[in-house]
Amino acid sequence: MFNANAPGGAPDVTSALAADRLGVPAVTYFAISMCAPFTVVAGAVTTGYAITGQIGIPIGFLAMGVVLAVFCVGYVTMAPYVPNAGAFNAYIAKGLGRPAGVAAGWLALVSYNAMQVGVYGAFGDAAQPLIKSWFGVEIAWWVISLGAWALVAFLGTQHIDLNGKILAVLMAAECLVILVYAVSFLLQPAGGVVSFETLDPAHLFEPGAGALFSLAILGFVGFETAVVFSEEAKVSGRTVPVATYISLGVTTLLYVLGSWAISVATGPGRVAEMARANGSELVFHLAQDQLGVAMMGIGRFLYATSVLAGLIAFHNAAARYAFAMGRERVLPAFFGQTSSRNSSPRGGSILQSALGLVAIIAFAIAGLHPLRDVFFIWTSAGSLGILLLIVLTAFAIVSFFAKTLTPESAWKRTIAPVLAAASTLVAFVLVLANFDKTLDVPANSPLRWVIPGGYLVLLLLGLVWGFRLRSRKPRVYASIGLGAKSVTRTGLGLGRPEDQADTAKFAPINRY
Amino acid sequence: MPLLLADDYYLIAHDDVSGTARCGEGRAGLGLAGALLGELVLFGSIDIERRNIVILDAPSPGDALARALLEELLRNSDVTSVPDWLQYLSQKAQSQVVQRLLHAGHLRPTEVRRLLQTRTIYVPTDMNVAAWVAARLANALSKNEQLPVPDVVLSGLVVATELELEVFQHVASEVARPLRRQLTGLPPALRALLSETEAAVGDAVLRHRR
Repeated sequence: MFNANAPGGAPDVTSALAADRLGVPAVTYFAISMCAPFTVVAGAVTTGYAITGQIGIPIGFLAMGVVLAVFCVGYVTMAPYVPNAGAFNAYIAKGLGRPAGVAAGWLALVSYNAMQVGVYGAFGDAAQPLIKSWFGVEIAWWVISLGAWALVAFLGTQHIDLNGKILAVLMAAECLVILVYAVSFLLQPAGGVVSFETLDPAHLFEPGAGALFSLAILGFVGFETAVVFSEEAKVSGRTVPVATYISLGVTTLLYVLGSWAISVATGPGRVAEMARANGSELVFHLAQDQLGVAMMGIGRFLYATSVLAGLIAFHNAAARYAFAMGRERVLPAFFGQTSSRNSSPRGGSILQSALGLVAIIAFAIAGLHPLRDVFFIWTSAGSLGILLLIVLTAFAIVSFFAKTLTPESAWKRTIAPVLAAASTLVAFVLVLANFDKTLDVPANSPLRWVIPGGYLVLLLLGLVWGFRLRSRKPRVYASIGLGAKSVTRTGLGLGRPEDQADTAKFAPINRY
Repeated sequence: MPLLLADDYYLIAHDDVSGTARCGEGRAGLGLAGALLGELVLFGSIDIERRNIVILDAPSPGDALARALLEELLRNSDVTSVPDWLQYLSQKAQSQVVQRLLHAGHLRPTEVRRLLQTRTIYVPTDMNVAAWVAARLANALSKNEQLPVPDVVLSGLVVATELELEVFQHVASEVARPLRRQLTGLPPALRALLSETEAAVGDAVLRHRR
């Protein structure tokens, strides 16, 4: 009566487990939806054209896409050896040492939260025209953002990454709209000529090119999430890499095509001016002229849902970083708790919601513009932090493979990681050098130094804290970067004490 | 006389009125899976080495469900990873343990009407049995008494699946330290099993799984 596996009955354990694992399509879809492509094309690209004054945005996306693809070679190769794959700080703890891991964890927490705060501005901006066209009322952006905040705060504690199917359909529609718009823009170019001006690689070497990379990183954030499924992929060693490359390829294509098509429709010479005049509405005005009101309405609706999906994605990313660090006890244990009814990272979620609420109210009181002041400044700050994380991770990957013998090829272990470390570092230096242009502030503005300086202080404090843990709390120190595998609740650790002492020896279970 | 590990865990992890899991189905499923494997360790049928299950040459366990599980482990000897088995068992542990508790007369089915449909829920036949399990643990721990090994494992599962507040209630913070000491004193296989269960609960959160 207890035997569910009677002959001819249920499948065996291997196939039952396989059925529960994720294939390439599921992981790809997840990674692309984390990027919220239409938010990037309609919101970030138009604002980027308006604020940075650079017209090389399409070629910037292409260059960054290539850099990240090279980065991902080492990233996905190292993933099976990282106990908390999916969190940059776990790679850094493993490759550059645990104190660096603590610093990186703090950096990640701040960066993802800054991103999230910025995207609240984008939602207010995205939903405002939609509400106006539906109900004929004009509501302040921050009221709308607060509405979105309430929804995200609720969903965040409910362990709902929204209904998977609804999200999949919306994301597919999003990508389709980008394609339809882009084709239409390309078929009806300004002045009758399709200009390749914005795709000219020369833009990468102009002063201010760093702003392009900053924007591109903003677009690609989310690509790093596929590796979280390393341990439950259908074909280990293949599913996650393939899904990561596909999602990077698809998003690169969409961003390059979308941003190029916008510049073709307005003419490269006028794109900055028109973007400044219209904001995110630029895309929809063009669509209305070329495709009619219905297609514009669909686009607007999908823009709003895309931003909302992005909000939920960033909320969960930030909450999970806090959760993992809470489990490691690098943050207070409260952050390592799950909510009682379902498995959502409660502490991190509450922290994120509290920060979001304070930020929206503060921006409303300060009377900031949702897209220019809130979305662009905050997501640029977040991008800078995440780019710094990527650089540190790239170096951690080089260091890890230099000191650990693994069976992969030299290309995966050494060549690609070194190339990635060098190119991401160059990108970071360029972004830093042109951060005034990214933020559209005067070259002597304190803001351009306050944000990177803040990150520097944070990293230093994190390092100090990491070293302090080593001398004061060796048990916590030992679990840095282990995420849920730190097992601090029962305090038993994972595996034998000698395995636990050195995470570098963390043995992936027999599937690897 | 105490029930088997998974029976005890089921009773304290489920609400005695609504019959639903106090910590959500997913987490309770992992807790029950850990408890079922724990029974096999306690029966001496399996050992855990380096995150893998090793089947020992020992007399058959004296419980039908434990025997069936051991047979399943033998049949699927290609899968030895504890995380894999926890994942697999978490899907079906609940219905299996419910069957065993029904059979022993500790649970009874009750029909409840929810909206338009009628559902069957399982509630304890004797509320005192369910309440006594939790009281037994809280009592001994708050008096700093040594618990028998199965009860230490049970308490460990409570912590691993974050049920301390529901089970230990107002003494939750007080018993944390003595419990930790008793957990550290467990044999390696049982410590490993509890660690794996806790890690599986946390990983489910990080991997967007229920």
